[in-house]
Amino acid sequence: MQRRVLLARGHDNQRVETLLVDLAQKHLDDFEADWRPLLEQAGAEDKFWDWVVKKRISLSSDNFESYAIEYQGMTQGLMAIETQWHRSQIDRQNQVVYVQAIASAPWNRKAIQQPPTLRGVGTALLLFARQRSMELGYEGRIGLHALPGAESFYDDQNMADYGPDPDQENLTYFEYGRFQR
Amino acid sequence: MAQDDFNFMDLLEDDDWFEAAARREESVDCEALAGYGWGTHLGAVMVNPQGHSHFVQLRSLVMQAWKQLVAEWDLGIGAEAASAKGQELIMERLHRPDPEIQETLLALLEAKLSKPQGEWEMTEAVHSQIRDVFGKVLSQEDWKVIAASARDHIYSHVLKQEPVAVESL
Repeated sequence: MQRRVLLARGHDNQRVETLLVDLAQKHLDDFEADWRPLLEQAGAEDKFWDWVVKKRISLSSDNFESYAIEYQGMTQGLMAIETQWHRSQIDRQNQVVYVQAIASAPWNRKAIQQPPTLRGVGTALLLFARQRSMELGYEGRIGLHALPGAESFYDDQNMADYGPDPDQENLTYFEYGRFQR
Repeated sequence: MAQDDFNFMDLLEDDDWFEAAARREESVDCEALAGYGWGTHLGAVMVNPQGHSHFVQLRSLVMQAWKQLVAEWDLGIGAEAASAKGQELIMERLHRPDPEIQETLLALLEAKLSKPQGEWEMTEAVHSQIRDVFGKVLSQEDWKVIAASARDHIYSHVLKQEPVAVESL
């Protein structure tokens, strides 16, 4: 899979073509070599139980998809989605694409680099999640949990806000319902 | 245009739409637009999203049981402090637990995953098993720290009321 995605350079707002592709080893290498040192400076905490992650639980994993955006040979954004298990909070008969993670490269975040190298990376990945929902027959429905600092982004886009989810450490659950023109 | 023909990615070609969306994104003040702040583990999440989804679900299950336990103690205004301190300690203690603890928790997780989303419940039997885990992984010193966090919160709360009470005499 390879799709042309139009974004903008941060320093002059010139529109530029990037590529949205399936996740590959190159993106993971970029993460380790280029993203990680910047994230370590930001002081990310170690809060994982690796023994759970390593354990193979006998369930199909066809329902997880991972994508990356590339520009000038560098990985600019990453997204992981789940496509089978999650149900709509609006009507539980309807399936949603669940967005497990969307992150831009550190140099595309205003808090880390001003101006950012690229603008709109996260927006493009979120749009692609909705597009996948259309392709899967879910009519554009997607759900996600957001950190407190990201809530305004979804509120401004009229996503339904279901408030803090006690099952997900009180992250706020948002959902786009059926797409209607 | 029919809905089936609509492509969300085409919105990026509209300069005005893009500018508004990019500004909204730039107003976000955290490391991830969606999902947890995975930090330096994001690469591992991308390689194994299913495994990390399992981690999130197991952590949720354990924390739900912990909150239920704290609620049963009826600590009033000290409950939140005890809950937060306990969560912090449990996260640490379950970082590398004994194999026996791992097996217990993974069995509970598999039971949860075997049910359709939304149909799993924290039964008394499940809660009891997780309480046993807390009893094994938290040391006596940990329990004292949790109790002290509730005590200290109540203590400072009462002292904050003192000037108000004196003024109203």
